[in-house]
Amino acid sequence: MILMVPYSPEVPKAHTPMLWPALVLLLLLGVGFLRSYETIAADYEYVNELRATVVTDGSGHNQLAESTQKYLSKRPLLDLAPSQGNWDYKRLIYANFLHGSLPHLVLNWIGVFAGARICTTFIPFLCTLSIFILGGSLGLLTSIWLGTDASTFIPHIGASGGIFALMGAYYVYNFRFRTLYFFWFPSRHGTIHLRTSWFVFLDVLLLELVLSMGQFLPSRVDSVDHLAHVIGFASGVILALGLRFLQRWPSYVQTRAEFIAWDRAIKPAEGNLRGWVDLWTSLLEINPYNDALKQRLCGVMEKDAEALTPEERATIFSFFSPTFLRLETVAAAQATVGALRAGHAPPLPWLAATPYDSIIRLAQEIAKNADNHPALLQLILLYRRAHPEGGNVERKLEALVTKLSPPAEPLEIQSGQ
Amino acid sequence: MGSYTPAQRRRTKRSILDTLQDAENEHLLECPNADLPMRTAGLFLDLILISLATSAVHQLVETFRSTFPVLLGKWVDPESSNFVFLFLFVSWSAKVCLAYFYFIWTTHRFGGTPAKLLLGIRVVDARTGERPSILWTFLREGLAKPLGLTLLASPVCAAIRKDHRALHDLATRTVVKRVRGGPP
Repeated sequence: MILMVPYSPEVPKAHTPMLWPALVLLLLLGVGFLRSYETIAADYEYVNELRATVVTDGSGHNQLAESTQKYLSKRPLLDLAPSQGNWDYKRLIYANFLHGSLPHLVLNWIGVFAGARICTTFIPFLCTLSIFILGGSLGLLTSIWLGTDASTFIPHIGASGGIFALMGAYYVYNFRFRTLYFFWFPSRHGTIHLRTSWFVFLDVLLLELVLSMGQFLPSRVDSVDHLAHVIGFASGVILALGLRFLQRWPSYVQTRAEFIAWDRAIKPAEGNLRGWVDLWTSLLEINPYNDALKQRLCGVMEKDAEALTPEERATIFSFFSPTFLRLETVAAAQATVGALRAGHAPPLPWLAATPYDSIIRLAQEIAKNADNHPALLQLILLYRRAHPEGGNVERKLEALVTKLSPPAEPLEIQSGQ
Repeated sequence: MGSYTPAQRRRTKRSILDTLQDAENEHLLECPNADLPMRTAGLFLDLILISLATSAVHQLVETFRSTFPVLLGKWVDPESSNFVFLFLFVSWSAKVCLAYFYFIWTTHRFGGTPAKLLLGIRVVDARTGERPSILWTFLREGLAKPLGLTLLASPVCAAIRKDHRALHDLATRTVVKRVRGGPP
């Protein structure tokens, strides 16, 4: 997460995350660090003076001597932070705002900034703060209970459990959509758009689960509290799922603005297809990046194209952007074939605006099924018609149409807009 | 005696998918070449992704290494050279396989490493626009690219040349194309 920082969900500029919630959390962490600085420095000195004594128990395992445990039980940091042998709820919550060193704080600042910022597209700040504190505290508590530390008086501190809780909440809301990630390359090429679900696999499942597994072992792989990360993440997921359930947030809605519009809209009856299409297209006008809604419209176009008016079909096709065609080629191809089979051509303005490589990609998907070949030729011919004569695209299409021998009689179609 | 068939007749009939693939290849050749900052960003992101993946493999192997003596007790001596060598071998084999799939197989199969594909750039044969064969990809990603980058010849070459082709591109007759613009 530090190497590839989630910067924003992929949404229109009007819905990009707000800055102030992230700054408030940064400030809280900074204040926590400053207020605990003297205690942490005193604790560091206190622990440095320790001369640890190791004894072997009956089962052959090495353990700290009782005198060492007694010495550690009086370390200054335990006044502020919880440990397995000495904890309470107040310290557990406070530990989310404590950090052992400046690098620890700076790394968590990056995480908190990203986590708190991206969540604001979906949930209010108070919910974000609650998820951060609850998720982080649950992560720390589990880590305290299940950890295999050498001593029961090792304090657990840091905001990372809370950061993972915020990430979990974000993934619940944006799992089916895309995220803009920043990877520290100092150029305009330093960001990528990635499906959120892919990053969950890479970052959380692949790395954190493996690392937290290692934490159960006698010889730990590293000193990071991976268990708090995983439990924090799970807590964030559960809290966000609960919140989503209470809000009755539909699965195909991405941003809060869409949710508010959806909440205020009068819902059409179950079988009222055109009513639903109207509602979905109005939501897409708020957020044209919502691929889940576009997939629903593709389903309608595939099965019930004849039930829609030419204007509605043109509106639906206008949302099939080049990126949607690249990422959801199968759904777009099925919608196009459905419309062509029903005798309705894709609108010419959409064809004119669609790049050549997107149409080739669509054509490749359509060509996989031999039954679709008439529709494929029809699409290429329509695309050629939508482009002015004499251009480079027209030359390439001319050659392509010549190569694609017609496998059947062309379909009778109505001219698009 | 066998019968002679002219070369043109022997050519198998091309399917619609082949024709569309040719159209795509032709289009790829006409795309602009990726410039140096974009290619550097791709390399940078590749290093991040491969380091994440190798780190996961390393931690997984280390976890197994710590678990085995706990599970098998006296049957395994974690200090023995055989045990250490076995896990070192497994760890490095897994990392080499990962590197092969990440850099070579993906470039051959999809026309670019995951980072290149995410940034919208593709490696294509400079003459045909096709994806490079597995042998040429191996030569490009496994030999020419590490050598060119180590000697700094590849970035210098890409910076100097108008077509932004690096030394490893020239050596393996490939070119890196920018196949789509920025984000939607």
